[in-house]
Amino acid sequence: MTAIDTTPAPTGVANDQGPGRLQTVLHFASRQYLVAVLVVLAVAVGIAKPSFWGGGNIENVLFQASLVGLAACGMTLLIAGGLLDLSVGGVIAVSAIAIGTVLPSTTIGGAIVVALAIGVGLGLVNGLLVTYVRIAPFIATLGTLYLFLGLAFIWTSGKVVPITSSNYRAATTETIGRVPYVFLVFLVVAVAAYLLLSRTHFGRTVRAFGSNERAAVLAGLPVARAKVLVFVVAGLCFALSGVFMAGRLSSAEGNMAMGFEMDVIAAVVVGGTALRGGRGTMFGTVVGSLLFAVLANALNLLGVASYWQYVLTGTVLVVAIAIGARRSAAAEVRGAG
Amino acid sequence: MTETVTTLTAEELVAAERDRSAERARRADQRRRLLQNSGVLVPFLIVLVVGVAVVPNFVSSSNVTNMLVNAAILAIVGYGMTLVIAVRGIDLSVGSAQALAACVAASVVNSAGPFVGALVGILVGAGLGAVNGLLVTQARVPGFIATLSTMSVFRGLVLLFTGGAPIMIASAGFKDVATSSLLGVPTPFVIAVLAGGGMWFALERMRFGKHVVAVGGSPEAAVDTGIGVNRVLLRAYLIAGASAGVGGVLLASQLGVVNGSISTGLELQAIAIVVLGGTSMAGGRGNIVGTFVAALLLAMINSGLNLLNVPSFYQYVALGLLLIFALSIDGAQRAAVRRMLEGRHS
Amino acid sequence: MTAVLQVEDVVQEYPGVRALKGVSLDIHAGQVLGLVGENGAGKSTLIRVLGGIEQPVRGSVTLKGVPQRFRSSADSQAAGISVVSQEFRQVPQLSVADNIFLGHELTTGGVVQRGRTRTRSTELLEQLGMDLEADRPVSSLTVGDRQMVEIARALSRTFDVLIMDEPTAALNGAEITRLHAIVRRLAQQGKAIVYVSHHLEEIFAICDDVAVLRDGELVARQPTSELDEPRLVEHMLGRKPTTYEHVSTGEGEATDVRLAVRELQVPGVAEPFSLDVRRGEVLGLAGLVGSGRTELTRALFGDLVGLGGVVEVDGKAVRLRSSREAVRHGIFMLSEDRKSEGILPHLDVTENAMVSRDRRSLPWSRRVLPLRRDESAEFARLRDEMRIRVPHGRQLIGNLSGGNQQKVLLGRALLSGCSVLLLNEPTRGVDVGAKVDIYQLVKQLADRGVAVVVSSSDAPELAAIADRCVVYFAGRQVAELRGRDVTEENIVGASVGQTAQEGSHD
Repeated sequence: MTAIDTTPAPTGVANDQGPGRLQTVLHFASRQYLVAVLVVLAVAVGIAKPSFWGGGNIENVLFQASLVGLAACGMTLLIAGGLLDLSVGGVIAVSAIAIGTVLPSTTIGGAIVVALAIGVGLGLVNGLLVTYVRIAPFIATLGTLYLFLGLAFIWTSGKVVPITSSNYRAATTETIGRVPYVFLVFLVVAVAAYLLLSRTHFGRTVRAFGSNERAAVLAGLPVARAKVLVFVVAGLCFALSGVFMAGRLSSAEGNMAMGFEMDVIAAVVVGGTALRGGRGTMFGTVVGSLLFAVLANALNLLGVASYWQYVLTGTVLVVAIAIGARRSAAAEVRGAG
Repeated sequence: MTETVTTLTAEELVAAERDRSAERARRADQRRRLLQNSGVLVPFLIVLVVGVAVVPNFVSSSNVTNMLVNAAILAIVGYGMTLVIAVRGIDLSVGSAQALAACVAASVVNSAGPFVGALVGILVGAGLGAVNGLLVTQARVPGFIATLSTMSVFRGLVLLFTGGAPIMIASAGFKDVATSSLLGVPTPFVIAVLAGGGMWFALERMRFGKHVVAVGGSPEAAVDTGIGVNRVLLRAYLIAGASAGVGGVLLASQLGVVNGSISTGLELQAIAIVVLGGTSMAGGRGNIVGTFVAALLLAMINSGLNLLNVPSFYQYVALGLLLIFALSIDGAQRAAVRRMLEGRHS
Repeated sequence: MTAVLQVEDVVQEYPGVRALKGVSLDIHAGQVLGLVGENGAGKSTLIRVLGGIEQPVRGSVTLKGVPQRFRSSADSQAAGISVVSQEFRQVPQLSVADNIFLGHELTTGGVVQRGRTRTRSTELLEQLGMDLEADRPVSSLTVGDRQMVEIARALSRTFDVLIMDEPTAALNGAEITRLHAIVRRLAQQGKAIVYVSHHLEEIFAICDDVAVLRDGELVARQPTSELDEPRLVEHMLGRKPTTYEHVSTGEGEATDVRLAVRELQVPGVAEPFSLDVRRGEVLGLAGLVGSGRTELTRALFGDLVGLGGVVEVDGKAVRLRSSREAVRHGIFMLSEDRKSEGILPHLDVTENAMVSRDRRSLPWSRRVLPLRRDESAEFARLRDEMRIRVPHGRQLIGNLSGGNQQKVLLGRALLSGCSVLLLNEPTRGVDVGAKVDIYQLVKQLADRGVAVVVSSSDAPELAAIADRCVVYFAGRQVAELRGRDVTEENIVGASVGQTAQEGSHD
């Protein structure tokens, strides 16, 4: 059927091509209750602890949100494809240690390139295990989490690697006004990830196999290739987070990002991306990351024991998913689940 | 009219097909057994031989006792995990649950005596398992993410409970449980064997076991035949929690001192032994004997690496590799069986 | 005489579809009620409601005078309804005996009585004329034998009402005869039986009464003796059956062969396949469930990897190691299971139609990235051409009716630029109106030069659209029907393994 003529649709059809633009905007706005939650939370914390808006604290919050958010962008892509990566903490540690190790002998740019390349490599390992050895993603990446952590400890012999270059620290922690440089990077990455997911053939393939893997395979889509690739892209995002985390902590060590995967997944899920796959919302991920950062910061300011963080993150994650499951229960009957 | 009339009658065709089908299944079964055995028995023998030959003090009586106790604690947690994986679930919270059970048990032992302490520890484990089960069945949260969350929550709770400080167990009687022996065999090991026997019987011979296989092997069939799928899932998670609790009590008894960060990464070891033991991640039949043997294998590896003074972070790597090896075998086994059932001969 | 089972005004709705629009039905003890209707008429929904798997929106079910509210299949079974479901609900890891007694195990104190389970199973299977070891795992059985196990399972329960949903879809002639004898005996014992079948001669052979469902409504309920086949079909369709004209392609051997299969050895199938499909031809593949025809289409699409033989598309030998490769070589397949192997539920209809689009023919500017404007225009064209009923192109495909989903998938196939199209059960779960549309679309595709292969268990469907029909039995080709010989009767006869009679046309 190569002889399909591609004459444009008659203009009469154009207005029912989709819901109207205004309608789309309203629909979008009506679902952003999360933004309202974020605003209310920020205002409430600001009233309870005026130091929340004080010098340095907002930068802190944005920095924290960006570190989680950068990794969450990659995680959103994975979850849209019905996949998951628990090895975030391992990838961040190894790439940050790489920076600490090579920085004395290379330029800042060179070190960052090395770190990102490591992210790509480790993502590739995950992707190959999941795609070709056919191990369920969460369990394969749980295995590689320990593998990567082990590698990180072996590399450093269990010691802390200091980031001695003050230029590097300055470059990664710089702010423009009160907005940290990393936050802008995060927004750019989020927009890029959004475009990648919704406007490219690759993104369509990812959503397709996230939605129904068998159907995607039988539609002739390059499922295996896209699966490996999405792990690689996610690895890149994690490493990018590691780049800034190393600068922020001015050091790198094996357990620098222990348990980070929980924060990242929680940010994505709270943002509204369902774990079942098929779609992902980058805007939600940005809001989710900010929400978590504000929440963590508030607990800090209020002097709550840090152990509560574990309890809270886990509870928020499980509640968010339970709500999502309840909401999609009706959709499931329709075959959209 | 074109008629390709075959020389065989319909009955002969059907009989021939029946034979082929039976033959395919037989081959598939053979292949599965082969891969399962090579996954656990071969490594077991290799590690045993290497351990005896290379590792100093590997067969010393104190080390053997130590290995058996470690293997017993691991195996008991593994039984629960076997059950959860057999129903297509997963429990990532066993480490945190075990820590919480151990710490609560320890503090109750100090205040109310060893029996009450042990009982409370097991109940705490069962309660935490029930929480997981309810999240999965009632809140409809996928097992891995529900237990990933509770892994964090339980860990937070145990750290809050202990305040970060270790709890010393005063009762000598309680501490004796792990070190005592029955007819020369360490008590925890006897408990593990008995529990394993009970679990095997429940899975192979009892109605519950058939339902577990149905829920894990074909959930739609389970629903259609009127099996209470949620009840089976809830019980599986509850038993997993309870066995983490039993493991926690034994661990507390063995260590004598517990703190909020014990048993981190236990979920990985438990999953590794279960999968290595031949219980497929795809659900269905649980292999309790395999889990038991794999627990012995992992205890030998850990002990060997310790005796050789290998730094602990290499053990991380070893564990990660072991898990991936086990999962690869599982994947290969499933692929091979599928190929066989499709009728290919290689 | 009071009815054993009374169904009153049962309504069932799915989003966008009203599957049952107030069906009332009753059945007496000792009665065999035939339940017929086209695909999508609501038979399966009614059975799921009676089986307790679905809860109706409205209406009541009364069993032996007691109103029932089934919340699960366990409730329905406890009340005395036993169902032989169309899809096999078996646990491959369990033995035949364990599967038969699954859900109502013979136990003492929770421990399964293995001996009794085995002997009772063997007895039940013997009743069905089966000589099968009860200890064998179900995964080792042929599809026909698994069907028998499914029946044995339904018989193993105590029941007053037995519902059989297409029990003969995978059974051969001898087995069907045995099954009919059992159904008659059960009726004599006073059981009420609801018998669902596509094969109308079966209905006439064993049913006392027949109930006809059309579009979710009960349109007829009559004693079988007052009906004949044409009138029954008229009830099912709601009009006189149109006689489809077999317009032979005419050019005969001269037309070029688009798909040539030589000795393709498909895993799990007895004999290698050989086939030729010409440009513009619609080839039907008939046979029971498990006869190997599904495996053949899967192998031709690279979903099952063939073990030997040659497949040529347009004269070029192609390697088919994956579906992706098959699509690239101009082969496309639609699965019989639209929900789990066809639609991408989270994607909108436009994207669903575009996923397999052949980009090689597009200009560079549109190849690299999918352009919204271009794709919506393309979809609008497709929508008009295929009469897809959808408000706009951003609609999620999961919310459409089965027929519209299938049209979107046919659009996907069309845009893939395939020269060979393999269709499995193209009208399963499709309502009557859309069915005719789909037949027309298939014809149109063929007219444009596509070689179409339709694998179907619906003999009238094949009789309606196939130019030629190949019939498989137990993994072997047993008949090839051409032109006017492609009739329902011939297809069914060959499918169940009866030696096909000489076709006489008078």
